[in-house]
Amino acid sequence: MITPEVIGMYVAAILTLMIWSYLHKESILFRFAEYTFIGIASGHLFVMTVIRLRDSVVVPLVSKSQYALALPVVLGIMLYARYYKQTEWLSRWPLAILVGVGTGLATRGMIDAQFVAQIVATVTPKDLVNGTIIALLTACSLAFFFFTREQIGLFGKLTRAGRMTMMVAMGASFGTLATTRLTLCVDRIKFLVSVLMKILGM
Amino acid sequence: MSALKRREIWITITAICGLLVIFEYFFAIQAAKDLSVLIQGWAVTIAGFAVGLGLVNLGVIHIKRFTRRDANWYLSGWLVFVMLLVVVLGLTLTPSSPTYTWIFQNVYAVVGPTMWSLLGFYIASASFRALRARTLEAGLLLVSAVLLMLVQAPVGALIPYVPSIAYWIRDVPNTAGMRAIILGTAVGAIGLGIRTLLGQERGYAT
Amino acid sequence: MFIVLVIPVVRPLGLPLPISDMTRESYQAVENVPSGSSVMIPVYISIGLWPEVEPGTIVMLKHLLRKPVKFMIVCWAADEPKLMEGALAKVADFARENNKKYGVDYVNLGFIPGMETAMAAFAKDVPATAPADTYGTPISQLPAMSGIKTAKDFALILYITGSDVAAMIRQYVSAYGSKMVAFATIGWVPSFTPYLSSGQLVGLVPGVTGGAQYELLMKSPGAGLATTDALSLGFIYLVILAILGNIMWQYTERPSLRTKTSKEMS
Repeated sequence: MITPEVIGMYVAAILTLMIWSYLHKESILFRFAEYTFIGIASGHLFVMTVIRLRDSVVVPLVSKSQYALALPVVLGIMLYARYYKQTEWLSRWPLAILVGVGTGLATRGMIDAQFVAQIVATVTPKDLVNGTIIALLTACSLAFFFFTREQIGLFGKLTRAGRMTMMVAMGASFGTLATTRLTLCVDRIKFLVSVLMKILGM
Repeated sequence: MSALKRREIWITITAICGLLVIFEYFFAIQAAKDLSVLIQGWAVTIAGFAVGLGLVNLGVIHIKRFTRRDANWYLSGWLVFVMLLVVVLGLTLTPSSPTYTWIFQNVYAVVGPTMWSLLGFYIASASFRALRARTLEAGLLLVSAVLLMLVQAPVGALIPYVPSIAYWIRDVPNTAGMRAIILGTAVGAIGLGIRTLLGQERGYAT
Repeated sequence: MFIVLVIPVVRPLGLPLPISDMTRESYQAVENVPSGSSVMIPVYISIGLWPEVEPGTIVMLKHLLRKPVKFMIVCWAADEPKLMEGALAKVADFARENNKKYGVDYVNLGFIPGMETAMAAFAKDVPATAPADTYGTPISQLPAMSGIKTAKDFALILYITGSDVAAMIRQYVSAYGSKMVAFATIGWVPSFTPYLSSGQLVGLVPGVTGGAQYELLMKSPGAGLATTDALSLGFIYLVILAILGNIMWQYTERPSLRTKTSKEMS
């Protein structure tokens, strides 16, 4: 029986094979699937944003008379002034608010979260042996980034240890990244096998 | 009117917003906190409108390609058609409707992961061709990658010592290296943030 | 590689999977959430990476539905409300069995644009930043949201992410002292271990492997466990390729060895 679920399953299987055709060579099939994806992605983003703005700004503004919300709406619309040369300067004001708030939030949080807390964790480890190794290797890795001083002698040895530590970290990242990609391959293969089994009536 | 166009005005706006947000974090002054909440709310609304900027750009580029019959013009037309279809369906039927959900689950949620999975096949090729232990550092990278990969699956637990060595690599040298990266990027980002708030970095508004 | 991955999908190997300390601590953090508390589930993951965290997400939702707690989902990008809607649909029967209802025990607040700005605004004033759920229902009509004003009102944050956790740590852990567990794609695990070691993260569930381990702890086998077998063969294949590649490089492309071999032959 042809139901939307069955049609959906076949459409999904065909699209999967169209994308995987790229492994052979780039073709019109791959590009068709790619452009479909981009079209849906942008349309979906627009829909979700409009719905959020409707619920959090337009509805309170219109039905609950929260007129203070009119100002951010005007500022948001001013962003689109950048498309006309005469009014381009208007778009810089809301952009300035966005950048100012974003920069302030990131900067204030970083001082504790990614600087002080990490240094405290390095000098007050839970495990003494491994904690000492982490502290030494962290210092060596930081030394590696001092490019204003020639990396020779004792300093050169420290930076070499730092470079090796970074290589281990990069290797760990690569290994886990390979896991991620392999997981997605397995997921797609599982899906295609399930479709094949349904077609074969198994 | 030309006074309103001066760059000093928007640089000052950036500085005031940023410094207010930083000030209210460190000092318990209610007026500053209330003003900060207000401005952050404005920023969320402005960010919502900013999403449209990218979409307008995308639409304009592809409509131009379609009308000028540039390379792949028919695909550009298809992209714009799909985008408009999704927008109309989403705004009239709502994203929870069966039709919208069908498109989301059987097209969008399929193509995305499949594109990412292509890299899985290329990683296999890279493992054979590019992972060379030419130097000690490259060898360390290779060993670390192999051990961290194996330990993610049941097979890793079956090989003696692999889990303990792999977890030690993850928890000690990897943590040290990543911590150095976090500290370094934090210092750089704090510096960039201060430069932006002082008006030294103006690339965002040109 | 296709053939290597198909075999365990068609005929599962049933290899035993050990449970890591990371996943065990994460499970315990959720288990220790006091009755009557609220849990925040922020989500920031690309649709392409969703299959990796989906098994862990589903079993985590089951864990929360089994407990007398409330949870609210909030999304920092546009794809996630629909993805979480799908995940909630998959646990709908489980929710019914545990007498949990949408709006009363859990809510999907949908997409809030702005990334870190949205995170900070939500932490500071939840009702003002998310006045309605993803379906447009005002939160005043949702009992699950009653009493939730700021980030301090959440007993635990379960962050589902395919990206960096630093922004959430800045705006929640550092600013409000929140406790956070990350359900992250495996690729980000090496980058998150400094936060785990410093206590800024109280737990970390790595991708599909962590999801499979969580399924074992919950005694609820699912898609995670079904995937790990295939991963085993895939990894063995990649390791063999890497070793073979290095052996072939040693004997074909390395100049000094080639010279040695020709000298020995003459």
